[in-house]
Amino acid sequence: MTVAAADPAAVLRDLLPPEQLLTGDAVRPWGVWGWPPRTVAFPRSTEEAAAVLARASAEGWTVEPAGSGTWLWSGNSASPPDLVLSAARMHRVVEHEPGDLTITVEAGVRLSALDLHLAPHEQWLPLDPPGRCRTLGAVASTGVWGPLGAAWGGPRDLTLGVHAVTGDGRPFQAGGRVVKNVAGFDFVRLLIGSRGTLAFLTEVTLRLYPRPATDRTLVVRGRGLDDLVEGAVAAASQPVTPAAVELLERFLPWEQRWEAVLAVRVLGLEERVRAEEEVIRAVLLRAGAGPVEELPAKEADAFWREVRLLEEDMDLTLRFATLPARIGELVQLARAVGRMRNGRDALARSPVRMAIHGGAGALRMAVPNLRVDSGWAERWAERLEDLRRTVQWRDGSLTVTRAPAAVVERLGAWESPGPAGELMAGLKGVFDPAGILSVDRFVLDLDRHEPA
Amino acid sequence: MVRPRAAGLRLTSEGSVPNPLALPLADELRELVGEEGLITEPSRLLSYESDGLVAYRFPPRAVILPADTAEAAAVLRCLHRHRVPLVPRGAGTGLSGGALAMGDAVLVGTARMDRILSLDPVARLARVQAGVVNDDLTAAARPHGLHYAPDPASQSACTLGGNVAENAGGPHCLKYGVTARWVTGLTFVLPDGRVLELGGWGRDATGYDLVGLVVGSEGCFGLATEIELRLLPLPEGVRTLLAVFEDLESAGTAVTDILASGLLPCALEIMDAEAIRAVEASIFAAGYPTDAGAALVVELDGTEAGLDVEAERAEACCRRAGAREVRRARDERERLALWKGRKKAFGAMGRIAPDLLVQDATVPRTQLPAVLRQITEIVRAQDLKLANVFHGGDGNLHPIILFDRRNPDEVARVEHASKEIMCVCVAAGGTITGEHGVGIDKREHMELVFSPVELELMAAVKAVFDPLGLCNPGKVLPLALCPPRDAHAGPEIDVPAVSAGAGARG
Repeated sequence: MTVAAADPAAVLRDLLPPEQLLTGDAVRPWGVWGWPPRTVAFPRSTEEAAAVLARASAEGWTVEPAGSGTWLWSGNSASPPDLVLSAARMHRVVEHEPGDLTITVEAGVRLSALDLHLAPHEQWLPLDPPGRCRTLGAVASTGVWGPLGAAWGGPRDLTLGVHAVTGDGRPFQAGGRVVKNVAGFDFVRLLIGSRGTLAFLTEVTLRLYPRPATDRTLVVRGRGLDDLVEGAVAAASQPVTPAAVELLERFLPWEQRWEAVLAVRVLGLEERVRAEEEVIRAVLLRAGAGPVEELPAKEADAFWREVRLLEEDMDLTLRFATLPARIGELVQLARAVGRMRNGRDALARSPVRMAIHGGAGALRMAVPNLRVDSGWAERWAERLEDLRRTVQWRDGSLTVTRAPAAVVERLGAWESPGPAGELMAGLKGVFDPAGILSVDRFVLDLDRHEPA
Repeated sequence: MVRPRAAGLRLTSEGSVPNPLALPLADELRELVGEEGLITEPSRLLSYESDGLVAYRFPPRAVILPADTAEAAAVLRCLHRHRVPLVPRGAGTGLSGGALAMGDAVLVGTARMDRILSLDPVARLARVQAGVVNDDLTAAARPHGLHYAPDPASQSACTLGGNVAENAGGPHCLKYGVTARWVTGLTFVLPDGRVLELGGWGRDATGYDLVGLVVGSEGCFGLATEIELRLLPLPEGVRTLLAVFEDLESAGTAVTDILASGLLPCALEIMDAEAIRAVEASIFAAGYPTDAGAALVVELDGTEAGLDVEAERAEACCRRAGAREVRRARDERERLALWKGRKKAFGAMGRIAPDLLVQDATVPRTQLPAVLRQITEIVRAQDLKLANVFHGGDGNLHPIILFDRRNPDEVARVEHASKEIMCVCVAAGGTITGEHGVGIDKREHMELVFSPVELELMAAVKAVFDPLGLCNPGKVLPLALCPPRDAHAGPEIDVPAVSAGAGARG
């Protein structure tokens, strides 16, 4: 990447007050894969974001959209951007009409803050994506979801509308505030999961649900994950749809240590929960190696937090997906990753961890302390590539959500979209004609084609 | 924000007689799809002149009916080479004039692509050809204890390909969501004949969600030939209530209370006084009290245990909101009776007026009472008759204006009222269509909800899929922005064949 002639900070001082810009050493925490940008800008409105992007497109600066910055270590590694554009200071609730069960918030509002806002209204947003400090802009932009995704759908199903700015600074809206809308082409679904390559999101409108009156987590322990896989499939294929079916390896609740846990979360009105619980208990009892327990609220919170933070501070994190009924095959394939690590001591001290969203057929894996010896990066990239092919061959997918740069550079975080990549590059050209947004960070085909 | 509209809606537009296909092209197409796959006789083409919105009539030049993806790809490649525009069509039950071939366009229908290719009860996944009828999929799934959730009113006739094009809803999508939620993969033929495999359940998307973008694109991006869909377990039990109110506002309050209480009914359907009286005066009389201001059908489904308690809660919400009577169906016969009035409302209305204009718009739910009041005033000011039957739970309105199309003055007043209704819905934070689509009917309303930048982006996105503007031209986008091809811009010229792109997992 050639360095743009003008210093972004100097130019942006005309557009934003100084307290909304970071330069010098202060930009370090905002590095993309640790490579610091030249400047970080914090617009406070759609208009400010539009002004910055219009200028960036004119100047040819590369721009990495961000929220609180937690995804900057994810995706493909690229050269450092000229500018990180963060929505972190856009954190107002724009509109909340409780009777409509919808809310519009600025993109920098964090999930935790949204939850605090909604609690007094007895409402909630059924989303539990991995990671800390997630902003709603980042959740929409990455499209990620967690255990609740199986029952509620992910951001794709819960986002009703967005305000956004194209790469060349044109503000636009997609979708709206209503739950049913077929006017025009569905840009909301196009933007969800586009990882900042098409537009910078400034506001998000979400569909809400009443906060469940009862929220129960039932668990059984197993000797190992494999013992419980069938139970997870069974729990997810009952006529009742639990809010979440989760398999977790090596859960460490305080002093006791469980090798594997199958947890089912049932929530809603008390009467319904009680009815569904009965069905689920029977399934769990057959699946587990012990009695079915109901986790006390505090422990249940700890459990779901553990799932949410599975990937934190890990060297290599992967996401496998397949049909829910075939999750067992995926577990077997994923085990190969554990075997790739050298040295039994490393394995014992810091085990590979897996969390499986049973109802959705997703498996998240986190590997700490990758051994770094000569040739390790090539070896890992090669093995993961093989594994990806095997998973693809079984109609699944393998995404590298985080890996050392040397590995992900060789492998690519996502598989190639194939012939559809050409259309995607064309779409990229429509929304980001100067090609400045999140360059080389998402599926690589986007930046390899000349826009139509 | 309300922006002025560019051009007027025409409730009665009749196309001129279309040019027949040039013989070499007709022969080439016949070669590809066989004698039974090509319709060119004017008498047979007449049955394709309109869709469910019969006010617009344009007989097509030809109807081409490929039998599978390979034939569809060959047809689209051929049309592309000859620069002949095409319009994808399912069963033609759409309500926005989206499946009409105007000017020099031909129809490409999915009627012969009517096979269910696979149905995996364990994975709860089906793969179908685009011409499979919505109801037929549920019928095939039922023996496995499964069903396909979206249930548009025309489900006994409409095709799943059409559902994909329109992102179809239905009364039960309040709980289960619209088509986009259940479609997980598509075999998609681009206007130049290239075949793409998009999505696939069980795989995380790589790159953009093209399935999500294509669903609801009203056939403007290409032709879906195969669809992968998720199925759901049949609910174990169902409870249906009919609550009768003095006025619409109370019914609206009941809906809001029910949803706020944590219940998620599978349907919350409202009829106003005029709709009730029309039904009761017809052969479809369902025993709704004719002096009522509004009737609300509440349906709850799920596992049997807990349903009774939920039904009691819903009933309590209705009574708190002022229901003067709540009937609960004790069996399937009574349930069907409660639904009968709602389901037959349009048919009943058709008997008291020669023509109906069924509008479709969505507003935030809390705006329903105010918007309904405004709509009543608008229609009254035009001296027209109005009835309301709508999906209360998701704020999806269907005001029905009764008129006679032979009376030009009345038609003009209907058009005026219709436009004003759109403006009112948009001003209340709503949108111009909740489930019927834009088609040709609402393309000039698009400027009410979208800015010039947004419309330009839509036109540019269409051009990514369809650079020559051959696919369903003149639909969805305002004409000024996306004009249909000029019939004299050299159709049927000979252009070298484009190579067929083989499909690969995308």
